[in-house]
Amino acid sequence: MKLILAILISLLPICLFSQNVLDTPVTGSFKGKTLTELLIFLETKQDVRFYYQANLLSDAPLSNEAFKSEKMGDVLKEVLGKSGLDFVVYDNYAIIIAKESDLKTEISTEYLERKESLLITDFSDALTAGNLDAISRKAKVLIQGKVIDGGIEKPVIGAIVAVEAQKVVAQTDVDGNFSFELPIGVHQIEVKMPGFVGIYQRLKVFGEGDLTIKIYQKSIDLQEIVIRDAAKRNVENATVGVTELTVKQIKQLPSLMGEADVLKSLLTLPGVSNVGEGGSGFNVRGGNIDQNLILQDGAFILNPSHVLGLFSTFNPDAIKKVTLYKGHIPAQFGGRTASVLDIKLKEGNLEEWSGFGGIGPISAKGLFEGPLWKGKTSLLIGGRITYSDWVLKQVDDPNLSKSEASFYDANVKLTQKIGENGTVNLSYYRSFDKFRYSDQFGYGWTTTTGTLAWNQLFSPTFSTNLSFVYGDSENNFTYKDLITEGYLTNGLRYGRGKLNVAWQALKNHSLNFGGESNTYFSKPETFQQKAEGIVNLNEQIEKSKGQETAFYLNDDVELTNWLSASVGVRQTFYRNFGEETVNRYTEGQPRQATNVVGSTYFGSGETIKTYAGFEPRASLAFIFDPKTSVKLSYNRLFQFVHLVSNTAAATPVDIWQLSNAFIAPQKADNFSIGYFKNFKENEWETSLELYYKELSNLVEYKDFAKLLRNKNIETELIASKGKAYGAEISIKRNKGLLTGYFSYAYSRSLRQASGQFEDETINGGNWFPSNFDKPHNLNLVLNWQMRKTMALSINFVYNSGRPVTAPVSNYFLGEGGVFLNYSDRNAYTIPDYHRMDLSYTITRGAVRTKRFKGSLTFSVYNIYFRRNAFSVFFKRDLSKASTAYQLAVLGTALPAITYNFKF
Amino acid sequence: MKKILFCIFTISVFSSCVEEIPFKTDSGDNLLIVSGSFTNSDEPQEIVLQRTAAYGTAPKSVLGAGVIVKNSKGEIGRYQEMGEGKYVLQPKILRGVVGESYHLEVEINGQTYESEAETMAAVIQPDSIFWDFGRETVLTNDGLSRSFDVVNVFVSTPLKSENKDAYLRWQMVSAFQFTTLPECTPFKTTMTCYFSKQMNPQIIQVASSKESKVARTNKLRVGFESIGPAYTFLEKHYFTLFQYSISEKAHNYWQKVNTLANQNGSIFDAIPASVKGNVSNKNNKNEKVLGYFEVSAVALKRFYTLAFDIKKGFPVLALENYCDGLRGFNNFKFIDGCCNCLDLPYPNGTKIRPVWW
Repeated sequence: MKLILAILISLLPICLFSQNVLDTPVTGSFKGKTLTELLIFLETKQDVRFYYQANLLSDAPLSNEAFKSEKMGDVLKEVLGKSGLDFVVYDNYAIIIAKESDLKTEISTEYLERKESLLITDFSDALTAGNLDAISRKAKVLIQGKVIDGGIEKPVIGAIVAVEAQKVVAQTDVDGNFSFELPIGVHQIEVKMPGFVGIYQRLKVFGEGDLTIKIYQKSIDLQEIVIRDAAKRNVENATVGVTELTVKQIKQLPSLMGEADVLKSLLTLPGVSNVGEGGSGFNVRGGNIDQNLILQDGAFILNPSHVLGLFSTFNPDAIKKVTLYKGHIPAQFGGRTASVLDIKLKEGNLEEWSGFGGIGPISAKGLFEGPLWKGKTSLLIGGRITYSDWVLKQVDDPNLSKSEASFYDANVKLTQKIGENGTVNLSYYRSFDKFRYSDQFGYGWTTTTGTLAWNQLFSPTFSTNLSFVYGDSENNFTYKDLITEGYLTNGLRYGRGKLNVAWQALKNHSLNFGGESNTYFSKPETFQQKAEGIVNLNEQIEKSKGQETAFYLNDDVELTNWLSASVGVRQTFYRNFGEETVNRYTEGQPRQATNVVGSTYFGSGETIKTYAGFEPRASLAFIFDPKTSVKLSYNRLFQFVHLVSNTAAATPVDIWQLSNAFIAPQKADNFSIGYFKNFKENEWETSLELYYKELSNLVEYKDFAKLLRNKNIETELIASKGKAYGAEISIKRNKGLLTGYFSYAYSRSLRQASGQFEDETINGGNWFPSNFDKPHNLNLVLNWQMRKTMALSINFVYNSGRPVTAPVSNYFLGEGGVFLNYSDRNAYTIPDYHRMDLSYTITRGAVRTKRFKGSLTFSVYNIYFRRNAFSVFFKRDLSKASTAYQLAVLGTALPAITYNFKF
Repeated sequence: MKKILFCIFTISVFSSCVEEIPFKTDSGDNLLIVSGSFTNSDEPQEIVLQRTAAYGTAPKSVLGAGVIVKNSKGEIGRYQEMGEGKYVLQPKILRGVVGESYHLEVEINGQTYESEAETMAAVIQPDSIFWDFGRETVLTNDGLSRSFDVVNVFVSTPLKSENKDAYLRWQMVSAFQFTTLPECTPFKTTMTCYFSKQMNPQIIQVASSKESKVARTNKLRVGFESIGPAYTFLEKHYFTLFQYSISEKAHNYWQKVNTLANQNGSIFDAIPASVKGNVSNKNNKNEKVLGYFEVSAVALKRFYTLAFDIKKGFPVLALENYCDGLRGFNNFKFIDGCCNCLDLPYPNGTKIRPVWW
């Protein structure tokens, strides 16, 4: 402590001439508060920073509880009273509180001359800029520095260097250089870079100078800096309902068959759930799976699932960052009404080649990255593939040996530096799935995207991002009815262009503005008969085409030091265009195929129907102190693309239907409020969020809707209203050997379909639970770093059972036995879902200079063999009453050993 | 190594399971169910009236109802109550005529229930009915697959009538005879019983030219019969095809019923719902009434097989006499049905020979 004081006191001459900060008036009531709380309060209200040793401050409540416009100096004198503590001021902003005896140490020239050696001895971890013997008299000095990889002694490009208290941030250039200005004094500097162990270290600034900071590639991926940063953002960021997941967190979770999985990780967050193993996608705050905008480097991913939802299609090794917006959605994003999942992929390493790999029970993966032209051009190429197909071929059972279950995904990213501040990325992504059981049935789906993106930093405050995306998603499956059998394919192609401008217009304003245009071409629904017959049954049903254009402006602004906001507007235009033939129906009659009175032909590109939507977005954060805030948000969102699926759970082969003359865009008004409180230097992070949503024009279905091979699909759909509300509680521990989080969400998701005609009304027009209305959702994740090289993770999930329509009575029809009379839609629920998983990871090669690093993970999914119901269905019996059955997709515990390596 | 990999894969991918679970719902809604058809056949026409019972218990018969069928000319056929909720109309009272429209009226405790009128569609005669041998695999409730030998029955038929879309429903009935052993009686006399049942009642087969987009089907499987118990194929075994020409609405109704009857819990299951029929309460339109009164024209085709035919398809199949195993030891008396064919463990036996046999 004395040494800290010595450093600061050594700088006193600079500030002794100006002590205005002590004249700052203080007003407030501090009943029951401690001295520490008073100091924190003063820090939030005034431009002042206190330095003290916490154990010197009394925890007793203050004797004087209220101050009215009293000078800060007087207040401090009063509250320090007879405690034996005193204070001094440095540079009119730093106030040092310490024992009187320490502060009264005479600072002699001799002391100044010898203190540097003391400092070196006792603060060997501190970085230094300038010369102690030539302390600058300037208010701020220029610090120029370089960040290098300590392992290979090469510059680190793109590292973030920040001094948070001074609100100073810089990013290293291609040579690892950065620069910014800092006041003379002692600061805490942070250096962050994905894939490296971050630094959070003291920096002594005596004057202008150069700084060299070494960081090391992660061997044991502690990421303390990232977590600390995230914890602070939890409180201070203006946006409510935003969660960032690091690759570390994703990989830490116990996973199915040892496959680290982005979507499964999201399911541990409050308010995020799905229908269980075997259901694709995820539901956010009572939304349907199509209401989530899933972006991978700006490309829409329409089907994020492998193996009918058992795994997600994202390769964790290729991911840089995952951000889920489930409350406030900034105006840069649009087109979906529930959430945005923004996945950023890594760029290839510009300096050297490295790789990742992994082998699991059913799949293997690999990723390589490195320079094609050192410092200028890099390539990242990665993929995952299953060998389940090969295993099936080895089986004697003819049904299984004729079956297929295969998937793969591949990422390729080429990065080209343009000058010092520009980057062009060319990305390709493909995901493929094929599942076939003997010759009886089969499904397949593929996703392909290509992205060209140009990022240019024109000045430290002005940058642009221009991107073009092409995407193609296709499904195919065996279609079989009594007469016909063949292959049915459908899908969606899209082209996307987006320009985003980021401009730090004023000191506290961070603007993002731009526009985007997305053109969708639904692929024709094509039926190809399996065997050639006398009659050619092949057919092609044309689907809608649409263009969505949006302009937006978003401002992240710090209005005061206690109020920040993210406000924006987005104006969207949508056009449904030809070539298409649109049915006309009898006015005043139910929309049924029998009421088609004619049709209108629209030529190629001709406008059929237009919609427009104005989307205000706002989120406010009231920051009471650095660890406490309340946030409010309101968002309006429109959605023009709808997943049409009339099955108990969405399937990967469902139809993407565009808004058209009959199907209006979905509209959502989302309200959120959250209280965020961190404890113990952000070690503990807690939050309570409440939300309410109102939705309209949701797609619901008539009973027994026939969606396939239907030229009049609009006759099967009903526009419905929706509402969702809930509360989410989260408690997180970010630091220590035992980290993790607990979350609980109570949420409801309801629908109402009250049409003009009987078949357009569901459950008599009353509100009814949506298919994914699961009120209680509880998650517990614990990660125990047992030793440097050993970690144990436990994950527990509990969800209410999802709604089901169940039989309420029986009857006979002829000799067909018992038939079932069903309840209102979704009147009952299936059994609750709960599961515990465990993983134990041994990391080898933890020494950070070692080139090859491997880890072995033992995991057990569903450790207590819970047979969670994916669905409940009812079989009639020919002679007696019907019986309820549950289908558990995973009916047992699934152990796995996975080996991952990196070099 | 292959075995290890296979085990891992099997556990991971095919570890799903289906199991029976208790599931409680409300105690039933006491809805009226009207079911039956009115055809152009010479057979008595039957209507069944029930009320739904709580889920898990049998429905209740509706007794004492007045049931009539009316055509567009106002002609009435009154049904006679036969007990257990069955009401029968003899064809001599009112016979179905193609092209005429009919509706049903049911009176229960002062409430009148009425079906929507349906016009009897034209008869579509199948071109041919034929069979072959096959093997059927079904998924049992425990998620395992089970295979067994079957006789498949096919039909070739037009799907259109006078170039207009038509809607067809098929029903197959199988019947066999069984003769007792002469050794059972002192005078070496035998007794023959006749057994019949609806084939594959769990499958409701409907099709239309409109939906399938074909005018004719050449080999449509309309049923299959398991080769077992073996005694069912020892003697003459008849297969009878009923091909009903039905309305579009009836076709849609049966399709929905079939969808519900064949749910298996997969992600591709449609969301179930109560199936609305074509009967309503004239006095209270809000009352929910289940079932369907179908007006249809029926065409019939029939063929039979003998043990000889079956042995051609399944030469290794032991089609020995059900009672032969113990012949000579005089123990056959203890085998059900060997001396009294009505004791055969098979439902719906009768000693009355069908007129068409």
